[in-house]
Formats: sequence, structure tokens, C-alpha cells
Amino acid sequence: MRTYIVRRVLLFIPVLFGISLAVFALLHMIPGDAVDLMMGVEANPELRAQLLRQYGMDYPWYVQYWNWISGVLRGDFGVSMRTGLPVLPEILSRFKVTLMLTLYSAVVSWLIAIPLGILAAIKRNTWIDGASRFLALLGVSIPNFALGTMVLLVLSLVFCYYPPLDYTPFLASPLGNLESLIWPSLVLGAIMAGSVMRMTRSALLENLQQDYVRTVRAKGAPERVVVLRHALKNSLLPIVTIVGMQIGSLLGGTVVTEQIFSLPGLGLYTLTGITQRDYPVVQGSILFFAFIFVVINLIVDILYSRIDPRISYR
Amino acid sequence: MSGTNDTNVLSVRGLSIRLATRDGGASVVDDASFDVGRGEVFGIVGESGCGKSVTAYAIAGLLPTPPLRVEAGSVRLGGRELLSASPAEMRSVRGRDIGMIFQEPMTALDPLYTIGEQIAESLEFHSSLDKRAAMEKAIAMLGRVGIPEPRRIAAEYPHRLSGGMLQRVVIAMAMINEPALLIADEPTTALDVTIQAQILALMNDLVGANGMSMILITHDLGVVAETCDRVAVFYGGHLVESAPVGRIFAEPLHPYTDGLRRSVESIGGSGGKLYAIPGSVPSAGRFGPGCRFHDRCAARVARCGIEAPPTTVLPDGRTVRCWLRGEEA
Repeated sequence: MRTYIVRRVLLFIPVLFGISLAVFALLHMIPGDAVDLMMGVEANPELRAQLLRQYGMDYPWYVQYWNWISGVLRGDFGVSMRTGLPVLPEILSRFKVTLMLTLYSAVVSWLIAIPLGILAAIKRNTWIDGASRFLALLGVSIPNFALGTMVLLVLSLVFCYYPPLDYTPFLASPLGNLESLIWPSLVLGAIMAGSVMRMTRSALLENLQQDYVRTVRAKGAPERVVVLRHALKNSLLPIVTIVGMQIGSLLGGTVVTEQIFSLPGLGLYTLTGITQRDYPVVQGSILFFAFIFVVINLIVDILYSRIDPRISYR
Repeated sequence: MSGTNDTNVLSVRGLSIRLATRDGGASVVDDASFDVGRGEVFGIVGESGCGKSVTAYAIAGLLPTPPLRVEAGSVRLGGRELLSASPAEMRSVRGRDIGMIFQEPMTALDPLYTIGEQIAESLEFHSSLDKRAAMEKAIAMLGRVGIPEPRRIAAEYPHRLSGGMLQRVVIAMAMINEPALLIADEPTTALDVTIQAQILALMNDLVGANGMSMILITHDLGVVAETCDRVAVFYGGHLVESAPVGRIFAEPLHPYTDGLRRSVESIGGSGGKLYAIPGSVPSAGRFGPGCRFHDRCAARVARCGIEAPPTTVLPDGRTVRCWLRGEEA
């Protein structure tokens, strides 16, 4: 197991290297660069050349890439071309917000999806099943900007409650942190819950048909044991897969939700970087997402082998 | 057919099971009655789809309802009616009074728990043993079903064991609470031929040593001849004949039983062609009002296609469901 993890971590290197090249190439292929956007098209050519030199953009692309990637390897992601602030500390501080938002959302989605999925499966083809499936369909179909806006409107117009417009870090005040994250987490959690619930229901139904469930019943097991100890545990693999994917994409930032609830998260940072062609910001953030994704994938794979003894890695 | 008495562990009367379908439903088992005596090995034979497994699941309260549903009848285990028992009462019967062994050992165990955990689980539902004591008992039981190094095997997961070993595990699981009745549904069908005899012998030994009764469901007449005391033959959901195993081969009463016997004997004989009963089994729901075997029966009379024969009990206790025999008796 340990050698497997070491090997997987070593595999991160070529993956991340490939992604860094791809991001770099894509960004530099888009017409218009940061300097164009800063100065407009009718800029003074001399001033333009001076800015290009200042940002190191007058070198051939491979030299530019080398300058960037060699910095990254030393832990220096460069500075934002717009704000002049170093990229890595900015990413890390924003990642903390996104991480908290993701964790809260995931908890919300499990609290909704797993019980509803179980209920829908054991009460199959009853009104409970129908209602749960309808909710799940709503969850997967409502865009998060619509749900987020509705939540804000209802809170402010009906309940006269205004969610805080500035973010409180967890360490400063856990309660304040919860207050600033609870509404966006409910929105994202409700949306994530849709697919998790459907996966729980279908995996559970499939497992309840299996021979081993009949054996458990033949032992005189109560339904609670049949469903929770046996069928649900066997259904965890697909559930973990889908939850892993969701967490991965949430950690990459949820631009719209962050915007609506004015959270200083990663998604917004990246989006602003892209619109301004702020190369170090975009390259740094995307490389960071890629890193998060491969880490989550590794965690999911390790979880597989924890859950199912038939899966072992060497 | 004698009434319920002390020597019978199980007494089934007039059991009818229906399958709900979109076009009204089909009779899967119709009016089956039989008794299983104390210490007796009772065989149920028949082709696929004849209702033999469904009968066993109905006894244990494990019918998938819907679509299958017990329509009428009575199942008494040690004098206690099971068909009207509540789900909670049936849970306390299953695993404690009735043990079950299944056809496919490879899929009968939960892949995510160890062998020992799964055997100990049977104890958890029916006794107050703590975890460690239950595990010790499970390990001892593994030894009794002939598993080498039971302590090591108890810690293994099912995928590490062969089919034959797993069937021993399932047997250990079914017997650990020393149930009065063991129901084995085609316990050797999925196993290698060389393992089949071992498993049968093991089940026979354990059942005999513990004074248990067993219902052995099979389509293999050879297995019946070797293991069973009495046997019931099912055809198309009808229990067509029941008799002590010696008599059923020596003097079959029903034309279908006779056909089965002849097809087995022709395999044993040298040279000649294999005997086969002409035609094929009609599927449930396609049965007419008459005897379900009549269109394949060489001895049929006009009445056979019109009216289903009643079950006739012979003076020696054998039963047969055939117009020809009914008039003789």
C-alpha cells in the first residue's frame, strides 16, 4: 500500500508537468495579451515594448515557460500583472475559503442525499420514492445561480435577514464563519445532493437484489441490518466516486455561488485572472486545481481499498 | 398423509403461490401438501421452474413479495403456524429454527465482511453472546464443517476461498444456531463434481449427528437416491407424487416420475438411446384446467385435459396426483 501511494505521488509529476504546458500554451494562443488589455489597441509602441520587457514577455515562449515553471518549482508562482501581489499566498488564502465552503456543502449534501436515497430505495415505487426522486431531479436541474439568488431574495424580502457580505475566517470566529458560509453551502449542497441521492438509491436497489442479501435475511437479520450494514456498505463505492468528483470540482471554485454570496474564493480569483489575461494568476490557479484533483483522485482510490477488501493495490 | 403429529417437524398443507403479472397472474405452486419428519431428509425434485425453490422460500418467509405471494395454505413448524406470523416473528424463526443453504456459494456471502464476522452475525440475532464468544463459536463451527485452519480462514474475506470452501462456510452459518430444519436449495449444483459428494456427505453427517431435519431441493435424482429418506416430485407447480425414496424408483406411481426414472436408468444402461420425456414444460400461467402433465403423458385419458386430479393418499402413506391412480385407490 505504501509503495502504491509513493508510486502514485511520483506519477503526479508528469501529469502536472503536462497540465502546466497545456495551460501555458492555451493562454498564449488566445489572441490579445495582458498588455493589450491594459493599454488598448492604440497604444504607444514604445511603451508597449517597455511593458512587454517588464513582464518578460519579449522572450521566446519556451524561455517564458522556463522562467515561470522554474519559479513554480522553487515555490514562487510569480506576481499578478494587475495587482503586483504574489500569486501563491493569494491562492492559498482563497483556497481556505473554498475548502470550508466545499466541506460544508458536502456535509449538507450527505445529510440530505444519503437518508433520502435509502428511504427511496426501501420504499420503492411509493409516494416517498416519487417525492425523493422529484427533489433529486430538481437538485440536478436547478442552476446554482437561480437557487442562490432565490435563497438571497427569500431571506432578505421574506425574513428580513441579510447574510453577511464579508467573509469571517474559521479561526477568527467559528460561528461567524458558519454564518458566512451556511447559505452558499445549503445552495451547493442541495444541488450536489441530487446526483448523490440518485446514485445511493440505484446502487442500494441493485445491492438489495443480490444473493448475499437473501443470505443475511435467512439468518434472521432485521431490515435495518440488511440495509445499513450490508446493502449500503456495498453501495459505497459508486457513492464515493461521485462525491469525490463533486468535491474535486467544488474545490476548483464555484464562481457563480462565490459571486452571489460575495465570498473571496478561488473561482472568482481565477475568473478575474482569465478576463484580464493575468498569466501568472491563471497559470498558477489552474496548476493548483490540477494538483487538488489528482490528490482527490488518490484519496478516492485509497478509500476504495479501505471499503472493499477485493481491491488491493501493489 | 397423516395429520400433524409429534414426529413431524414441518407440515405443509394446501400451499398455493401465485405470481403477479400484468395479465392477471399465474399459479406457481398449486395445493401442495407434505410433511417432514424429525430427523428426516426430505427431497424435493423437479425441473427448473416447477415451484420447488419457491416452496422452500415460502416456508422460510423469504418469498419476494411482490411479485410472488402465498395465496392459500398452512405451514406449521413444530406446531406453530408460520404463514400468519408477523415479520418480526419470522425473523426470529429464520436462522434459529430454520437454516438455509443456497445454490451459489460464490455470491451468497457479503464480499465486504470476513467469513468469521458473517457466521458470528447469525449468533448476534438469536443469542446474547458477546462478540468475542460469538467469534470463538464461529471458528469452532468452521472446524466442524471440515475447514482446515479455521482461525485463519475466519479472518479471510469470501473472495479468497473456493466455491467448495464457501459452501462449507454457508453450511456452518446455517447450522450454528442448531435449527430444527435445514433447507438446502440446490446446494451442490454450482460446485465441481468432485466437491459435490463431499458437501452432500458433510450435510448428511451434520444433520444426522444433530438430529435435524432437512429439505433438500435438487433436480438431480442421483443426489436424491443417495441422501434422502422420502421425496416429493414437483411438476409445473403440482406436487405429483411423494413416497419413500426406495419406492419411488422401484414403483413410481405417477407417469412423470416413471419418465424421470426411465431417463436416469437409460443413462446408466449401456448402448441404447437416452430416454427423454417428449415435449417440454409449459411455463407458469400457460396451464390449462386439467392435469399439468397431460399433454406429455403417454397414459392420459380424456378427463386429464379437463379437470385437475386431486391428491390421492395411498394406505402406505404415499401420495399421487393422477386420475389413473386415484381411481385405483
